[in-house]
Amino acid sequence: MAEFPRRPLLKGHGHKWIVLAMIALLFGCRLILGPMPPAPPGGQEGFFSAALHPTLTDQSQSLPEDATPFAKRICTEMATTLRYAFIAMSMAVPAGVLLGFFASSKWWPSVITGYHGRRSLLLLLLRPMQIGVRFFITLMRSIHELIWAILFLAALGHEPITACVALALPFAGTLAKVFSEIIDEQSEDARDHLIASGASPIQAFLASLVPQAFPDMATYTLYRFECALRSSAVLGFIGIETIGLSISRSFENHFYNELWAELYLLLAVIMVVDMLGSLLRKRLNRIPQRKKSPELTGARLQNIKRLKSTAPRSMMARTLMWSTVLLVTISWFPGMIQLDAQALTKANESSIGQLSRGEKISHFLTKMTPQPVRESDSWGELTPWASALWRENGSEALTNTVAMATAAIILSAFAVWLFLPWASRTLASAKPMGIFQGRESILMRVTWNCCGFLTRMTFIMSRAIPEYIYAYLLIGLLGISAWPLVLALALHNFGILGRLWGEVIENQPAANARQLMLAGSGRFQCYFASYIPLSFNRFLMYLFYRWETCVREATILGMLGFASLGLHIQLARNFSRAYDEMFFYVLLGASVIFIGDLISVYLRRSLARA
Amino acid sequence: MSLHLSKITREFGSIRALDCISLDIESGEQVALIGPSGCGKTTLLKVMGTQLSPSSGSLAVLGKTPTQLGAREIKQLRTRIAMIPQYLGLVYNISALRNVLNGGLGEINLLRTVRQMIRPSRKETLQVYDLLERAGIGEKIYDRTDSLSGGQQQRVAVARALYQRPCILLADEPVSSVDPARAHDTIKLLTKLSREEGITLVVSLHNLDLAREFFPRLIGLRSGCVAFDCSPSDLNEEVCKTLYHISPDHG
Repeated sequence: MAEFPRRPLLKGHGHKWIVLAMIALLFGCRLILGPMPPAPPGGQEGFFSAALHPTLTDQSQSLPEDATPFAKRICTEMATTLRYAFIAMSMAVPAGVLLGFFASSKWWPSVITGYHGRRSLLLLLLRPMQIGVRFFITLMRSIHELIWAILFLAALGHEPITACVALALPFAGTLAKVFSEIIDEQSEDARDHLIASGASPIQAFLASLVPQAFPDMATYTLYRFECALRSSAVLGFIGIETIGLSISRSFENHFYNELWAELYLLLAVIMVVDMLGSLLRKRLNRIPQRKKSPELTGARLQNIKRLKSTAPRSMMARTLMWSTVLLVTISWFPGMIQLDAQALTKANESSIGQLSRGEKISHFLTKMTPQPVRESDSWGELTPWASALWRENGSEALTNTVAMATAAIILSAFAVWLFLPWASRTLASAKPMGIFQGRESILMRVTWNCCGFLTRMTFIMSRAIPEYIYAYLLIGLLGISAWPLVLALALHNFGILGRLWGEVIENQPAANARQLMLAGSGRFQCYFASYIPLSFNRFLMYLFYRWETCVREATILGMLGFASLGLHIQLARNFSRAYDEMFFYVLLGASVIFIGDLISVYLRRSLARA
Repeated sequence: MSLHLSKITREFGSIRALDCISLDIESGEQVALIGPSGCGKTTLLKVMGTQLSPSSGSLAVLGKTPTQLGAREIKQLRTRIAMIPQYLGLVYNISALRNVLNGGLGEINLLRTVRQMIRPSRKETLQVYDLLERAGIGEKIYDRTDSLSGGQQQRVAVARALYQRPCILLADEPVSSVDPARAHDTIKLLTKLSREEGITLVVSLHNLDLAREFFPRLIGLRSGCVAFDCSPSDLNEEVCKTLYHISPDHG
């Protein structure tokens, strides 16, 4: 493929204008969202000092004698968090694979090279099916898992399995989208060859594109599992018994030492999964070399057996696969190993409903019908009702939601730009890109290595905590306004962009930067003059991808109290049980994400072309 | 008769890659296609392999006329033609075994494909091992394809082609990316295997010396036309010169 020369920052003004536009947008968002109010007095007393003194014992003095001790309680809740994440992923991955298959066109008969004079009638059916599946996938992704959870819990009752299904839905959509994109990126040489040797397109698809795409699909699934863990933790905030439940209780009661213990536990588990993911990626990208060549005797079967047993294989991938199978089974059937866990289909005692499930669903569906329509029984009432809602709250909530997401992603982009050279393996070293920089002292080498390691750890830690928990804590500490939410989004995305952009920098051919460095420029001159301009478009692509997810998250962060879509969803649910209004805001949010998704796809495509 | 081409023309837009080519190749014959880059060797091989349809002219492969066949019949015909493309078309992150097995997909149904992907049977494994042995890399059967050298990967592609049990074997520039010694070995292997199995062999080559050494019939192509079609002994210096002579309008 032809490599198009990219325009460097210093020659054209394109990149400069984009950076300026980002700053202007940030000010625009500041105008929309208003100033940050002064923090409420006394709100954060002892919060940060407690970070150094996490406790594993109950801080509450008024607990009954037979209460579960704190340490055991949070461990159980962490295990439940893991369990629900496993259950959700075990549903999402098969669904994602299936939907991803139908969203891809690489197995269609039209791809037969050569003799396709007679177009198969099947194609007339396949194209609409693909569009339908893609629409369905986007719809699944457009509604945040927490909102799915709220909808389902309201409709089906307060059971853990409902929450798991709610998690699985958007995850299946995202997995399907990414799986089909990964498949589309694979080289088609092998597939075309197999078709030319008589294989059917589906056979060729299975035998060539699927194995080619497998490593990327596996590592992405692991990343999604990490996200599922975060979302599962957040489910605690709507009453499911995961670690989020304890976090919210400890924070409300000002038991900050407990709170930090819970946060550290969550942080540790997610960081382990994160690092496991990068380990797996590294392992799968390395080509396994045969170390032992066995003695071959005459007997063919014996030779084959020997060759097989000495073939290089990845123990890590195998262990990971089998432990996943094991853990998923245990998550579904904890009784198998006599584990005492909550039944998936039993509501917890706090909210046992009097209604049967069928009644609940029909009740929910009635209440979901817009009120005027329900009363007058004519759908003509729908438009005035919807436009009144739109005028009253909808438009403001929508603007605020988008402004929050935009402000957050711009803030984290600038922060990552500043932090990136300190985290880069190539630059943050005593010998950047392996270039000799004069006699080096041990101190200097250690300092650089520590600096790189610590910055990377900062990225990992900041992305380990879910946005919702950041927002929950920050709202409590800083008072109710848009800015704690913006900050929460920015903090989480700081870690994610840090990793994505770090990979971009590491994958960029180093020749240009080396040349600058050899001509005497310093690390940061090199960063600004070579890495940023050459990788600018890729940076922007990831920025848009994250912006899209930020809009999704911003919709629900509003639930914590700022006038945005989430708040109205929450108000409609909690106070008036007005599921019709709630559904209106949910759809509004979904349509924003739908549009955001389209814009993001368009921009990313045009950037990839540029 | 293996291949019968009569006045075959193939156009890509306004470019005429093949211009009125007429050829007959008997079954079991070994033929080298020679000519400079861009003379239409790959296009001709693809037309012979039924991967490209001719724009005009009549083509018969193994007694069948591909342009008149339906999807199922063309699929059947293709299982009898093995192609070794220049870029090999291997799946690099799976074992040599699985790549060779991929050659037989045209013969089995979807269910068996899935079963084979999960665990190949002993019979299938033995067959693959034998073929790889004959290609000289039996000990690499369980090695991942991208851990093999370029020459070894080429042998995997040869074994995959043979696993098809083809009647025609087409190889596109099989020696363009290997050193002279390897090139010699590869051509020797291809001609030996095809002679043993009675497979019609058509190989496109840059290297005139190799072609002369191994092939009883040489076909020279120049800007889409047959420049010569003769045995090595009939090939004189003058004809060779015209082949690689760059005419002003093709500069």
